[in-house]
Formats: sequence, structure tokens, C-alpha cells
Amino acid sequence: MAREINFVQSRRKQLTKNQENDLKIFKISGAVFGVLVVVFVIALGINFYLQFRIKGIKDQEKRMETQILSNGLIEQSILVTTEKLKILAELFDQRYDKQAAIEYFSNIFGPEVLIKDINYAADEKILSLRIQATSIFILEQVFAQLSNPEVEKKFGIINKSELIRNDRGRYSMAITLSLGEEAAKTTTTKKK
Amino acid sequence: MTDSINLKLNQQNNIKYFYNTRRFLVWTGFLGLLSVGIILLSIVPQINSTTNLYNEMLKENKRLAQLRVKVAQLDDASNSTILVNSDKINSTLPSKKPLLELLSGLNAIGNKTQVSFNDISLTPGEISTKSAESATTKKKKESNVAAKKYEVLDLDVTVTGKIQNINQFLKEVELLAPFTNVTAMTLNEKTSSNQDLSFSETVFEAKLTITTYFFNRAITATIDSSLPELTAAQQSVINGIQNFTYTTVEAQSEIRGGGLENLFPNVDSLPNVENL
Repeated sequence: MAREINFVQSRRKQLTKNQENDLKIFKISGAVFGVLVVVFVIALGINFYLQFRIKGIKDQEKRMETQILSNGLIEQSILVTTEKLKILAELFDQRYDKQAAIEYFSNIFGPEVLIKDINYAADEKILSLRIQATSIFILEQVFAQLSNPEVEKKFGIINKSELIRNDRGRYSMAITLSLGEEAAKTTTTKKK
Repeated sequence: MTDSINLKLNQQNNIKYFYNTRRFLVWTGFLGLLSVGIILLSIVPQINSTTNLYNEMLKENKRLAQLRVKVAQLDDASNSTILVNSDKINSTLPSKKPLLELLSGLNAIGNKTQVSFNDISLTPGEISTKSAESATTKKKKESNVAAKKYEVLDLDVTVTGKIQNINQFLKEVELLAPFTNVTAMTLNEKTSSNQDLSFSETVFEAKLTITTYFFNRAITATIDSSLPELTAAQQSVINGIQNFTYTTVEAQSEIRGGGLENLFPNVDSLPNVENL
């Protein structure tokens, strides 16, 4: 008798094995899909929560802005006054340099020397003085004072020009100097 | 034709057979496509949106904190040093040309230091209106004005007095509100050479250029910018202006006149225009 070959049985075995594998893969993919759905729902939830928080913050901001606008005049006054203070601080600094320099030269020259002309260019920080000495001896002292290293250290190079003698025997001379950091340091020390 | 029909029928049978035998695989493929779609079309955009919202929330939180600080500053502002001294600061650097205040102050100082005024002259400033200026000139002037923080008003004054009075006058001028500088000075002896006077008794004439300053800037600020704080230099300025001389100029609210002599006491009525 010929041996029987059961193709159907082997085929069915193969199909059952494939179906079991397919089922496994289907379960895994189902789980992955489920996780993705959960992630999407969580992301959506976080999104809604953040939008709600931002809305709350913006409502608070609106209330604060209303409060700030109601104090607009006070704010304007403070801003304008502070700006004016900044400008005044600059102007005071410029003026103290000039005042300190004039006071300094008045003191070192003494009462025999008269400061006759003053010209101050605030933008370039240049001070010009015309001094008048009552005699040649006083003028000599003035030259000695101006050549003093301490004066040079304070004001740098001092330009001397226009030496004139008038008919009463008085000598006048122009002094030009620039007011820089050294003059400012002197002023600060004096102010303290 | 029969062959093509048979082919189609065979294909349909194959699809049906495949679905019947491998249906889970088909569903797996479908789920896979759906998953990819969810990732690309839903999850990735949601994550981007969430990130943007989170950054926006951080930004808004920061702005809210700034606004809170500003509200607190404004609540305390009425006691702040700046506002308490604002009248003096505004008098020292006014927002308009302080001509009357300056003249009034110089008069007061002159009386105090016993110097007499011989001459006062000044540059009035811009005379033409803005519409009269050409466009280019106007633009140039506006850019210059924008760059400058303040405007100046120059006054040429000639005073006479003894040297100590003039010195005192110069010191007092620089303690006057509005903020004033003596930017130029020329001193001449006024006493005749015949008179034999000591230096302190000699009368001098001083020609001064006095510069006063006033504020002309426009200030802008955003609603969430915090109020400026007082620096040490500014506090020093406030201390410095406490000793300034402040003058008040009465605002004129009515026409002042009268006191003139009636030149036509016997005339009861004016003649008619037609009879003129």
C-alpha cells in the first residue's frame, strides 16, 4: 500500500503557527498604539493646563497694568525728575571742576593777584583765566607757582599767553587749562 | 478577455484567502499605520505646542514679577526721596525757559550782595515758529535737540560793586535756582585813577555771561519697566540743592494797568467816527 502524505495537516500546522505569531505581533502593536494614545491624551492635557495657567497669569497682568496706569502721573513725575537729576549731576560735576580750579588758583596766587577774566567752555572743559599782578615781583611768583609740579599734576599743561603791562605798572597774563580727571578727583576730595 | 477575468478572480480569491488566514497581520499593519499617523500628526505637534506654551508661561511669569515690583514701587513712591524733593528739583532744572525766575533771582541776589545792575541783555531763543522753518533745517534742528539733554539760556549782565560784593554775588549766582553758571566774566576797575583807594574799597565793574539750563527732553517708558532708583550721585545733587535760593514768580491772572493820569479830563464822550 502506498504511504499516505497528509498535505492538509502540515498545511494547517503551518497556518496555525503563522496565526499565533500574527496574534503576538498584533498584541504588541496594540499595546504600542495604546501607549501612543495615552501619550497623546497626556500631551493634550498638559497643553490645556498650560493654556489655563497662561490665561490666569494674563488676567493678573491686566489687573497690575490697570493699577500702574492709574498711577501714571506719579510715574511720569518720577521719570522726569530722575532724568533731571541725572542731568543736574553732570552739570554739578562740570561746575565743581571749574569752581575748584578757580578757587585753587585764587588761593595759590594770593590777594596780590586779581582774576580779571574768566571764560569757561563746558563742552570742551577748557578754562581760561586772565590774571593781573600788581608788580613784576608778584608776576614772578605767579610763574613759579604755575611751574610747580603739583600744579602740573593737577591740571596738566597750562598755556600762558598774552602778557601785557598796563600804564599803571600792572602785569596781566592769560592762562588756559583743561579740566580733566585730576581736577575732578580734587573736587571729590574737597566735597567729602 | 476570459483570461483577464480569470486573473481578476484569482487575485480576489488570493486577497480573501490572505485576509482569512493572516487577519491579525493585516490588523497589525493597520495599527502600525495608525500609530505612525498619531505620532506625526498629533503627538509631535502637541509636544511642540506644549514647549511653546511653557516658554510663553515662563516669559509671562517674568513679566508678571516685573509688574508686581513696579506696583510695589508706585505704592511706596509718595514717600520716596525723589518725589519729596521734586518741587526743588523742578525749580532747579525747569521744563520751560526760566527767564522770569532767573531775573527775579538775580534781583534778589543783587539786593543781598549790594551790587548794582548796569546792563542786562539776553538772547531770546527761537523766534520763528516751526512751520516757518524749511524742512531740512527743521530735521537738522530736531536731531540736534534730540541729542542734547537740556537747553541753555544765556544772559549778559553788567554789575558794579566792591570786589568782595562781586565775589559774593558770583557765589550766590551759582547757588540760584534755576541752575546757573557764570561762564564768562570780565572785571574792570571803575574807580578813577586819581582816587587813592585800597583794593577792598575799589569799585569794580564785572561783565558776566550767565548761563541757565532747562529741560527739554521727551521721556518714554514701557509699562513693565521698573522705576529708576536713586544713585549716590543723585542723592548728592539733592543734598546740594537744599541750600539753593528759590524764587517764586507770581502767575499773572488778570490784566494789571491803570494808575495813568487822565489826559482828557473835560471830555465826556469821544467824537463819532463819521465826524472825524
